[in-house]
Amino acid sequence: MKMGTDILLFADTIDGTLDPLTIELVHFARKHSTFWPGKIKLVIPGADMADVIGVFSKKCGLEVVYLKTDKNLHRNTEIIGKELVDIISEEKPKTVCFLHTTRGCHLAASVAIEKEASCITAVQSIIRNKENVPVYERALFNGKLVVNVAPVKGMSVLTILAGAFSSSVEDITENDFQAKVDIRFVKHRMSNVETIDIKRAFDQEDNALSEADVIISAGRGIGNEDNLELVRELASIFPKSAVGGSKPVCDLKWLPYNRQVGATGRIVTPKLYIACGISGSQQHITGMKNAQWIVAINTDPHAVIFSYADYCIVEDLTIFIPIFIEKFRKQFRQTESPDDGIYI
Amino acid sequence: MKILVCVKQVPYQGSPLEIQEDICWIRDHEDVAYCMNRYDEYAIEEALLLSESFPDTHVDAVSVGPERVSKTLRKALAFGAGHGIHILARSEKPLSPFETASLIASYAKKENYDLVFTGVMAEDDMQCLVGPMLAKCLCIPCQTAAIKTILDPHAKKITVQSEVEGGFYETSALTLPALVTVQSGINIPRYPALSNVLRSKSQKLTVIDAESLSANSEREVLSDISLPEKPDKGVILTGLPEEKADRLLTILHEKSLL
Repeated sequence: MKMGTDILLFADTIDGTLDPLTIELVHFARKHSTFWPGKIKLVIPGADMADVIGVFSKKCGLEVVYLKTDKNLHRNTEIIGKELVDIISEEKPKTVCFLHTTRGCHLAASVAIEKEASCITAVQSIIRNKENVPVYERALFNGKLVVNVAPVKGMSVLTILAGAFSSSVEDITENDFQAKVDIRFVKHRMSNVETIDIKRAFDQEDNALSEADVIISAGRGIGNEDNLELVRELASIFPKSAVGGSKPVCDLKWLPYNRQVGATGRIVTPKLYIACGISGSQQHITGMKNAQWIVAINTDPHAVIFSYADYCIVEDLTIFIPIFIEKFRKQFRQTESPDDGIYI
Repeated sequence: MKILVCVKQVPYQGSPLEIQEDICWIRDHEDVAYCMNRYDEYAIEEALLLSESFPDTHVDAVSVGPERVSKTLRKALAFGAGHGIHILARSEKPLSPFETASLIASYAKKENYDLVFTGVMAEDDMQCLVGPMLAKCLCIPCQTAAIKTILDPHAKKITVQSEVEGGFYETSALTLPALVTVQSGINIPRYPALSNVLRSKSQKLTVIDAESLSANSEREVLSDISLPEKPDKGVILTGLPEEKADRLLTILHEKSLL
């Protein structure tokens, strides 16, 4: 008789790499099992991923099921969903967790319908309630409100919000002997979906955002495309600076997608990040919250971005930025851009 | 070709949000303005673009919710949808994605749609679930976060380019009938044409009572809605804009960032 699993985790691979947020998923599960002890197992689909998965399993002292597929088939959500349902039927976990990505939500939805489970997405915290059962906190209205959600079905399917749990590898403490990789070959083949191609979304040559010490980012709150000039001018007074933007600004084609900061764009860690007219969607916050210093300029005092900023300026940026630049120029007698302001 | 677009009415993002504890949602009062979920506008636009490329394509819009939802369906008609279906759910409590998906599925099952579009997520509860749950209920393939679609009605296929976290684009071909959730950036929603606006005002909507469709018990229970605890991290600079600018200059200079 096979020993079952209490918490089944699922992490994706793409282009030969494991989702870097997988470690947060492991931290979530470890935290969960401090309240409700149980066995944790991680499922990772992929093609030619044995080495990467082996290293990760050892690093976390975790039992991993390597769901081995042919090229690109691991990206087929329909097939991976069926395989997961098989694994769940064998392991009978109480909790199944995905990362809160569009694919994670897709798989969570499929599994929850198939197994008649409770489904809670974008979990940001675990709470043990009076009855000693798990309740999960998630945000509403772009973080303006939070609510607790309790599962009522036997099994819970969750997606875990990026950045809500630790991403530190050092914090992972576990006995080595649990590290183990089981290879499982994908059985399902029939699908109405065919994955044709996976490619990088943007030009890898433009490394402005990853190399810059200072990033000045524009959100839709800048009002119109012309105000991007103000943002560029602000960037020009900082050495090694670059201009970035939120997804809506890139959707409007005011900036190219290779300047998009966020979960679907670039994850950046500059010394200084100045958010101009950015309200702070979850996916944007994921991309910039690890900057060393964060300054936010926004007219809305309730903007979520202020919760992450070290310095909050509730002002109209079209008024504030010109004043700031003028004062800088007076104080530092600078009339020209620094020579190494090369990225704007 | 028959296309169904699922649209959700959500509180306008700038509306004052007042908590109503007993339903764990916001109080529905006259100061709350409602609008169509932004991602659903892209879904409508994508359906309309396809219907313009392929003659004999009908676009229906469906929405689940109380009386006021009819206004959002009329907006869908004003954009150019041919017909609106209102699944009337009177509950004050917000419906879960599972309940919404089940209701739409029990309507859509009988209608044989070739293609179903939804927004990638709703701006209010931010779940990203109704689309994939609906696809599963209808037993049709699904692709999420589309930023480009190419339809081939003869081959009965839709090719979808999706945005994937981490900076990737993924291209998949789905056999129809299929469901696609639409991400922002895919298109620029049109302004409603005057003729459609006029038509939308008088055209009858199909109203289906949610209670007449298959009922499903809830699978999650909400409790303790609240304002998030603000991390005490940030310093709010005060004073006139000039004073704030001086202060910020000093701070950045002290930290050798300038």
